[in-house]
Amino acid sequence: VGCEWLFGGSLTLHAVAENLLFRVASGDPAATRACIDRYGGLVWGIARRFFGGNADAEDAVQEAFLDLWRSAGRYDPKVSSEAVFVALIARRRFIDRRRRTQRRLDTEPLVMDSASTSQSAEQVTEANLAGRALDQLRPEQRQVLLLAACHGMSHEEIAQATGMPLGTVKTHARRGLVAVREILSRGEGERLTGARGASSPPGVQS
Amino acid sequence: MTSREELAAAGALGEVSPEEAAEMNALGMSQDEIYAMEIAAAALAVATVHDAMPPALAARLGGSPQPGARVVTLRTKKTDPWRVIPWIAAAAMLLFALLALLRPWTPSGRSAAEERTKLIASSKDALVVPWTATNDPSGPTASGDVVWSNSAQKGFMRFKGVAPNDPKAKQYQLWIFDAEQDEKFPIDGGVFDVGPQGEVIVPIRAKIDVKKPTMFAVTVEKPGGVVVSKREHIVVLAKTSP
Repeated sequence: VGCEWLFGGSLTLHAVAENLLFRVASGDPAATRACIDRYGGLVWGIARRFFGGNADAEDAVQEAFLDLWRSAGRYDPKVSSEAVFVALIARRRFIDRRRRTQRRLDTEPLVMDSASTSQSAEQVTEANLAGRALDQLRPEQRQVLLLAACHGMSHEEIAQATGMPLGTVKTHARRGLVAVREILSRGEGERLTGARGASSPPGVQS
Repeated sequence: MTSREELAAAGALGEVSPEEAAEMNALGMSQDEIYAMEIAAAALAVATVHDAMPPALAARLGGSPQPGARVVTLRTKKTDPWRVIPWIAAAAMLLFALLALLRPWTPSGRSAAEERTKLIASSKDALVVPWTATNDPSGPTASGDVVWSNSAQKGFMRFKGVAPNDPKAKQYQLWIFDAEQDEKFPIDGGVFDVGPQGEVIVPIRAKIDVKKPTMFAVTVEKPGGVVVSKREHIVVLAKTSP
């Protein structure tokens, strides 16, 4: 028996069973633990960039997961991957929390961390697509966009940190994100095209 | 004039000025446009974040400790992990209840900030008017804005730089001046408190229907508010038209 009428005809029962967020939404306690295991590093990493590695970041992570449990039912695999949905919910919570606390973050270096966690194939694919998009930006645009989107810094904070005029920061952040969105849309199209008949997403060695 | 896509990007980055919010409203932008940009921003986070969660935090949240991780446990006897699930659920519910008490949740379950953004994006008649500080000691440099939708009879106040109040000593109260009401008797928009956090967003609770709002004003009043304000301490004002 399929679940077409429940999931718009695009998902099989197997896909539903594999999808952690559907299971979370259905109240499966094992799925919440698995979700923390799979995405805890991602949510923590974003929180650390927004708030520094302090107690605030830990509280923020807890809030983000509570939001995720409430929002899991709204996840649509046709719109984004699970990892991106989790990061989206976390960013929203952290932006809101930063507005409330208005604490300055300890800026973290923009290098990849050595203490890294393994990622799912889905996350690797997303990372490849977004990494490709970042590579196509000018260095100063990439720097500003990462500070704004991944470190949660306000435009004023970025202007102070980089010495760029506020208007330039605003333009780089916004046009950079628009460019990434366009590149991701093209890449998503390529991925879907390439995925036909293939068992692994592009960029993942099987 | 900022492009539609750049406005959506500003929304996704949490950097929309009151003027831009009004522009988004005038353009009839939808939440989906901002959501598309949020997805791009989230994908960047997925691409650049490769951290491992501290084992103690993972354990506190209810996840499985990672292999090789050193987790200090306070339990002295073996416990079936399934038996603690009700406790975890109870703790999560308690935490949720505490959060609900500490922040301005709206009946929809969204935060006030989310509801505010949604109101701006979805209500064609939503006004976004910046506050003007009056040099009152409670907020000489206060800023922020007020959002109001007549069709939805709903709105939010956003403040920055307003002094925290002791609710036992005084409270802030919103007044909505309506062209169809005697200006001596503005509409009570509800009392509220400001905590030590930098920026606060407060839902407006108008006691009667607002027809043609001309000005919003926040005063300092005794705990619980008053029926008619003496207007001795006006903290901020926002006129809907010059």
